[in-house]
Amino acid sequence: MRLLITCNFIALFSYAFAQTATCSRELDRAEEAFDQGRLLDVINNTRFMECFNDFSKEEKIRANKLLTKTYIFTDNTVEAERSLLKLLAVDPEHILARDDPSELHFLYSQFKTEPIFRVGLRIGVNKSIPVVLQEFNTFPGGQKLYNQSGSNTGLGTGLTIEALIERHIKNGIEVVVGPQLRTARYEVEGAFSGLQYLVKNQSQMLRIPLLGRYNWWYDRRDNENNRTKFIPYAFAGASFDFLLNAKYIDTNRTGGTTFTLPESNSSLSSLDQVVTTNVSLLIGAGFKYRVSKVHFLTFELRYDNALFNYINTDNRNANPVVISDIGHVEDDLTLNTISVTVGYTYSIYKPTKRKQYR
Amino acid sequence: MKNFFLSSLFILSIITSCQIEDENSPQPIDNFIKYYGEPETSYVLADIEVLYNEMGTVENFFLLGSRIIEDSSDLYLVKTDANGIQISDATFSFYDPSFGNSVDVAKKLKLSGDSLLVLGNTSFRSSTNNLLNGIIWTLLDTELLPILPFPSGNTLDTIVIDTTSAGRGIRGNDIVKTRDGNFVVVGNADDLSSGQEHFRLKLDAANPDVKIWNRPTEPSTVDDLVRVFEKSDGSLVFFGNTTNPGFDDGKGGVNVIWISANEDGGVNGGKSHGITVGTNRNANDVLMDAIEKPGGYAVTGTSNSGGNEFAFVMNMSSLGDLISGDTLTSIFRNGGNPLNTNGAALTRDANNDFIVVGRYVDFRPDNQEIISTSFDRAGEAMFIRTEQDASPVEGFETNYGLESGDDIASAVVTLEDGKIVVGATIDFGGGVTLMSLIKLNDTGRLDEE
Repeated sequence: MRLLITCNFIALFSYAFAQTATCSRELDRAEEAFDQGRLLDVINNTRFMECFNDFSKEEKIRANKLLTKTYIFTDNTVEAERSLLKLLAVDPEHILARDDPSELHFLYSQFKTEPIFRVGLRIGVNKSIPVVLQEFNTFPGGQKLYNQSGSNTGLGTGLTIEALIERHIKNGIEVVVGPQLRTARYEVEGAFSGLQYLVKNQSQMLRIPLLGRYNWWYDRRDNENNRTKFIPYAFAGASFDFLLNAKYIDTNRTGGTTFTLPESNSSLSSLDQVVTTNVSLLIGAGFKYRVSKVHFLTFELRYDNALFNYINTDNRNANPVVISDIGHVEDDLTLNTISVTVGYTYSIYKPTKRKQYR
Repeated sequence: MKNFFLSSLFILSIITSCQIEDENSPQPIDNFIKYYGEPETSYVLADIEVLYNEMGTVENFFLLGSRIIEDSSDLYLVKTDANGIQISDATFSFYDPSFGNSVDVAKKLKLSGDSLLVLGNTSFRSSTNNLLNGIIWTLLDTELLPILPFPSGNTLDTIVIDTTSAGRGIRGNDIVKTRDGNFVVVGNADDLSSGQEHFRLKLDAANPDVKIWNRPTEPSTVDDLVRVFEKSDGSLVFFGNTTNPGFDDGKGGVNVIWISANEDGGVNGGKSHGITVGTNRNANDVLMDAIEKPGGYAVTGTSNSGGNEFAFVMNMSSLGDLISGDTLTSIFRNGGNPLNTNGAALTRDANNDFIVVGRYVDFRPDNQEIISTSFDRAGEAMFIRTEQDASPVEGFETNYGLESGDDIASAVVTLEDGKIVVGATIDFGGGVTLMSLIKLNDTGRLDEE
């Protein structure tokens, strides 16, 4: 039994290998026929036509390109366009060789070959940069430190995840929009009258950034007519920010009897102590690295600057436990962040004939 | 297009440094809680005062308290701006080479014109190791600098000590600067035969060691005087406690007494009033504070009855008649009963109601859903607003303080704009107590404008 299975497997493998080799030969023969001007031999070669399912990707590109040229020179425009679309389906943004026939270049120019949009997925870390607009304290002297890398406070780091839809407009300029989920945290260390407190304010926001991006070398090609792999870019824009949740974590006071803020008193959003909407301006820069012909790895540095106060001033004092037991009062501040993200950008194509040629 | 786009990027990068501030948002001056004190030192607040500028807005707050380091205690003053930000502080301690260090306890702070009148009590051991108690007082300018000269050996301006017999001392509760520029001090004194008696005396501003008059035992049934007011005709009104009704409608136990006196301190009338707690007419009504109001006076304190303590309010006419009075029934319950409370001070608010502050003896309410602090607390500062007839105004009772320790509000002032400022001692536990200034809106809350 085992021997029978093994024999069948070897037979199937041998058949597939033989078929592939046969199709490669048929493709070579078809190209030879085209070069010799025997155009009908290309089209009427049924074995060649039946091999499309067995071609490798590179062979499919060669075969579709061959058919496109053949149909052009046999004045079968419909089939030529169909073949070109098949070519673009296999190889979006296919780059024609300089020595390809000008008729093929002309036909190619009648089609939209750029992606209809790109989808980017990014993940990274952010560091909050709270900018205090006005200070509020329970203590008349003493000190209040934000995001100091001391023994008690951390750096105020959080997480950023975003999904972006990108659309190229012209000359390397893109419009980008998409949701972002940002967890930002800032840490405040206060000291007064021999007491010390540590407050960690953590917020989660759903943000909708809309930005314009300029790509350098967007269409640049190297000596071998390949698109450049490295594309630096810069961008600016604005974001509408919606608060999902805000709360205190790991908040305590030492000195006297140590007091840790209980979970039941830790919510800022339930007491409406932080604003639920905000607008941010943002700038940044990064680069794309082409990992296949059309998709990219990205690395990006971004600064988000909130325009409006993060604290709801009317409810600043809504949590008496934080004020009395911890000794902390939230300052008026804008919650800005600097973030570093890495991601992957996937290009989506739908080649169609341009309006003026329909 | 490329250049335009890049130019736009550059401009946006500049704009990105902008923040938009709401000029109409609440400012630090609006409502706040502030703590005052230095490390490794404990403080107990006694009183607060407010200085207004010519525009009628708050210029400074002054806080008087006791500053305690181990077994030693001094008088401690803090001056703040209208935001509660400390501007300066000063410490005063009685010292006499013949007596040594003293324990000085702050009692009363009064703004008189542009000077601050400070009253405290001191105790120390005499050369024969007798414990002596006396009053200490001083007059300061608003920079917290003494106006009257120091007698040699003392860091306070002067001291009045009755050392006629060992173990006999006096303790001051209130001081007032009279129209003639001198000072009337009231309080209580040890009575070797019957425990305690009141005193009232007038000091000569030119020579503070001289008593212009001293009437320590008349009437003898008065055990303590807590507040003194000078009326427009120079006559005096005293409020205190008595265990002997002696006057009018006083009931059993300790009662509140109103005494009218001429400018020489001679008594020409008096009335006492007691609170009936439940059916107990013999509750001890211990007076803590009294204020003048249009047409009369209002007083607060604590009624002790059957092991319970309840803050009380009495509304009196200018002739000392009781218009209304009752204990305050807290909305906070324990075992279905109102929490025990102590009344320490009161003020008349912008709505002509009374704000009574003090202390919840043990703040562990059953009905925690009506409070913002969701766990059991020990002593907690109390804030209750009442009608003139002492019935609580619904929705205006709240607590301030910390989970640990024993917090008490001991002073309250209504500002010109209707806001309310409370002075409190906040206990952080572990021996750390700080003086606190709490500025509330006219409903007594921190979080609403």
